[in-house]
Amino acid sequence: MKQPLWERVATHSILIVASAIAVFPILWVFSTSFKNQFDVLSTEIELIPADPTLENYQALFDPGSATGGFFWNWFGNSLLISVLTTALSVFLAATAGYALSRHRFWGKRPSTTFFLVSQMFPAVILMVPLYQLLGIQFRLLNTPWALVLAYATTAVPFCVLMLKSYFDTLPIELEEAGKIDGLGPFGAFWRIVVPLSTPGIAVTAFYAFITAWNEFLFALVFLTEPESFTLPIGVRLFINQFTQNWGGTMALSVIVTIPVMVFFYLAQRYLISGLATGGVKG
Amino acid sequence: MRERMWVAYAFMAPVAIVMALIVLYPLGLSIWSSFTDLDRSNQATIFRPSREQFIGLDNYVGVLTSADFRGRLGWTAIWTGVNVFFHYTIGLGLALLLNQRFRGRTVYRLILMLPWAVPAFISAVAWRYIFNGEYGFLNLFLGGFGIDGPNWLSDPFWAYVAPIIVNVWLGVPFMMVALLGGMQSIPGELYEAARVDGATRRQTFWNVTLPQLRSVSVAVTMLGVIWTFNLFVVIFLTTGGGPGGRTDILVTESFNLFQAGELALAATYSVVILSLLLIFVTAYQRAFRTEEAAA
Amino acid sequence: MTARTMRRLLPLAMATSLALAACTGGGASPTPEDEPAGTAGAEPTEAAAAACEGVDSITFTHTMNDQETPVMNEIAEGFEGATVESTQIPFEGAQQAYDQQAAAGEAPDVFRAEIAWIADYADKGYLVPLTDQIPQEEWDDFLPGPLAYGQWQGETYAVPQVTDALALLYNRRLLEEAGVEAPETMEEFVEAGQTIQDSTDVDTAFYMRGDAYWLQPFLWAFGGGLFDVNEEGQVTEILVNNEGSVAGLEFLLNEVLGGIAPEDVDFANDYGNAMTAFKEGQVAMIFNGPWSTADVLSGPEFEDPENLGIGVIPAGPEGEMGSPIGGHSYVLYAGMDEAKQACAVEFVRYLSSAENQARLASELNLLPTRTSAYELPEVQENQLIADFQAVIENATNRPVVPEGGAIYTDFGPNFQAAWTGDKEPQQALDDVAAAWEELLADRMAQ
Repeated sequence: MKQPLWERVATHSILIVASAIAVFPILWVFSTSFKNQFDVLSTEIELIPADPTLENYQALFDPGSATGGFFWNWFGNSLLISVLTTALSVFLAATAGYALSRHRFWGKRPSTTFFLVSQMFPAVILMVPLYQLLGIQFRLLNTPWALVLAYATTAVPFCVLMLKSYFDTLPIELEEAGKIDGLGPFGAFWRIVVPLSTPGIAVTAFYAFITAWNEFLFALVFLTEPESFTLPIGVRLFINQFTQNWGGTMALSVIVTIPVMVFFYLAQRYLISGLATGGVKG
Repeated sequence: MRERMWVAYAFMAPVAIVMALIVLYPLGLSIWSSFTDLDRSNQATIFRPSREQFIGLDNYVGVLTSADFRGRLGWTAIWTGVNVFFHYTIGLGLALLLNQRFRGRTVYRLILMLPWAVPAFISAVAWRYIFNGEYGFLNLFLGGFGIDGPNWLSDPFWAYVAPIIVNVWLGVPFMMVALLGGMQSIPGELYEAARVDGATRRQTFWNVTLPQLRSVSVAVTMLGVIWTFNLFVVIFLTTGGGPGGRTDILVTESFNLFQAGELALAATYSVVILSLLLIFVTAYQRAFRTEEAAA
Repeated sequence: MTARTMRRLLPLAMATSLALAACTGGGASPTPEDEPAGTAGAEPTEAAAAACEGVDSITFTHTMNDQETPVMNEIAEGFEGATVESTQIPFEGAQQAYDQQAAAGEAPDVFRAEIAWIADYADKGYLVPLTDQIPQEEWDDFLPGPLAYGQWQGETYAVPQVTDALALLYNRRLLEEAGVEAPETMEEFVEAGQTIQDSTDVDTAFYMRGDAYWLQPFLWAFGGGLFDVNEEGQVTEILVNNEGSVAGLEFLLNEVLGGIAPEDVDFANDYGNAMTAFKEGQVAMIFNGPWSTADVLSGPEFEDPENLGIGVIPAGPEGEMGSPIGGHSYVLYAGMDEAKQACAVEFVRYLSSAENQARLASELNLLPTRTSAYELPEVQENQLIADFQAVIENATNRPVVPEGGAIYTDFGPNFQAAWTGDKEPQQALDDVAAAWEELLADRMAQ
């Protein structure tokens, strides 16, 4: 049942236009990152820079440049904060997700509702109190801890729900077999459920990591010194009082995006299955 | 049974404690702050304790009766509705195309997912650059066709359109992938049966595909509404709320109030935002649950 | 980084145990005991060495632009008393960032603040009063305009770093081609613009920004203003919607925009677009400050720096004129260790010495704030500085109140609304006045 020619042509035309729209802004960022300071604002459209330069990239690493060459600080901070957030959230969420999946207890429904609701909090809801508590009272401004705790406010509920729905798919007979072998409830969880859940945990961790890696608002509130910045707000350093260093902005954007993109494509199959388990049911 | 309860609580305890400390307690503080006149000049600092005063419902009365808030609420609703509409329809259209068998569809799918893979704050900044009225790509491109493009970020009308363009660009891939997943899990027999009945493709779409996508659609549109309603970076980094604060949605306005030092008003805004979200989610779920029960 | 992190693990432990005891930071009282160490820059090294004994390092942050930052960092790190960590932070949000850090006890020891932010910080108790920490004869060397921005309720809290004002920057080649002189009145300004458009290939002679700061010269030229403040810091009269202000705005809207300047401007990018257009010779005149000259001179049209002309803002019908005095000053954080304060004072005196101001002037064309700096040869040889000096002499101080940084929040959008025709000029300025009455409610003189 072959499609008529015009239909195939139409399908491809639409998809080609859509693909061009999807790709173009990204190509434009890439191209701009190699332009010198005059060509970034010009009335010529140059997809391939006429006078390409690497200076925007070099400046990211050069301590003598205006933006201080803090790239490795930012990268390190982003990595540390994302890893800590992920580890904390997955660790806490695993037991809770398990309890919600396997046990009946008083308070189960309100807890589930609480996790669902706190997942939809926009960051601004906790901004004022977290700034006062973590920033002023505990003096955690410009530390990774402020952000790890702030990110945990959404990452933990999210991970709980994701893991709960993963645990739901594991047959309960496995643990019962374990109990016959003399394992207690904690032993069964740790020795049997956790090892079997590695794929679910990996997907959950991936989500938590990417969310922390890309977060912008809390970082803006809690980080005020360039050496403590994460990559997302490092981009802000390229905005001066009146003007913006577009070449530098784009060079940093390219470097931030490449690992995320690679990561994304490696994980895309799981992303989709994650959608089916966590996102959609949640 | 009692022993199992004890086990469950032991499993829940770490999360319960942490959530109480970093979510419930701050949330309580936020609600408390919204009944005070807390701002940057009377907040607690290392130099002195806080001096804010309880002022009852004044903040709520002030916010809810202001024309500014109503305008912003209206724009936030339009922003959310228009975005989710385009996310869903374009996502559905592309998913339908990709659900056919033809050479190269994996490549198309990977390319079309690209906007999802780019961090949103980067896309927003990149689009801001593209929207520059005089030197931006978009207007230079339109100029090539003899079209005099508008000032996307400062024209009172186009400044509303520009962030919607950015967010549609950002949000379509998620819908497309989710709906494509939904389509691929529709049992082939249903299509077979429709073909046997002599249904046209249009009829098949309306009577098989769309009803089968129902639960996925309900879920993704609800997520879409929540995400878009809460989406801070796109507005903040493309228009920055401009021109003159017109394009600020509720969450960016709450942040602006925070930056301006109006902490109590920022908290008031955030409580209002949370209430609106809760009302929406409850109503949405109820609407679809009762409909499902009736069907 | 690791030391910092370790130091901050303790508070985390407190956080998780819900110990909500309020943290009290280091003492906030200033130390008046340090000896005034000679006059300006006489023996800086010795004085600094004495004051900085036992001080490891001083943190200093600033919001200088990309051209300025390397020079600033080099000067700062050249301080001999202690190691200096000099860092650029984004200007966007810097006012709030410092406020947040100061409240939390984490602000840098020395900060280069925009002049409109200082009164607010001083009012909140974040700054070290400096009146008695620097000898009177040194204070006397500073220009009164910039110095006034650092004073709040009888105390001086800031040492001026640079001053600036908007000037008329013009492209000499284009003006000569059109056969016009640099305009001195608003009427000449419009005529000159028309002639340039008629006789050169420039489409629009001038480029106006949709920013209220740039509107101020028009208000002052026609006898308008912002608001008046008395000696006690109380607001006596709001001027932004008086007859003169409205006339200035109407002149801009009716004669300038659409006549000699583009009416259709992308406000979101107008600064950069105006600069690009000027640097490439697409417009002949802009208003801008000394901070922009380093950037302007990097443009193709100004390979010969002689081509850049700098004049005062054109005067209004009654000969009135005005340009907003802006600038930046150094402030000291009241929450720093007491032992460091004397050293930080020496550091700021070093930064603002006539020699260092002269260096910023000669390398970056930034205007010194000290009379003695203008007498140094490298400043006197700088034609741009000399031109800007004339501008500063005709410039106007903005009123000093803690809300000084916040007045533009409502001013800008209303100006843009008048520009795009959403509001009548009178209405737009009335709305600004109403917003200010609310903003300044606590400071209105009875």
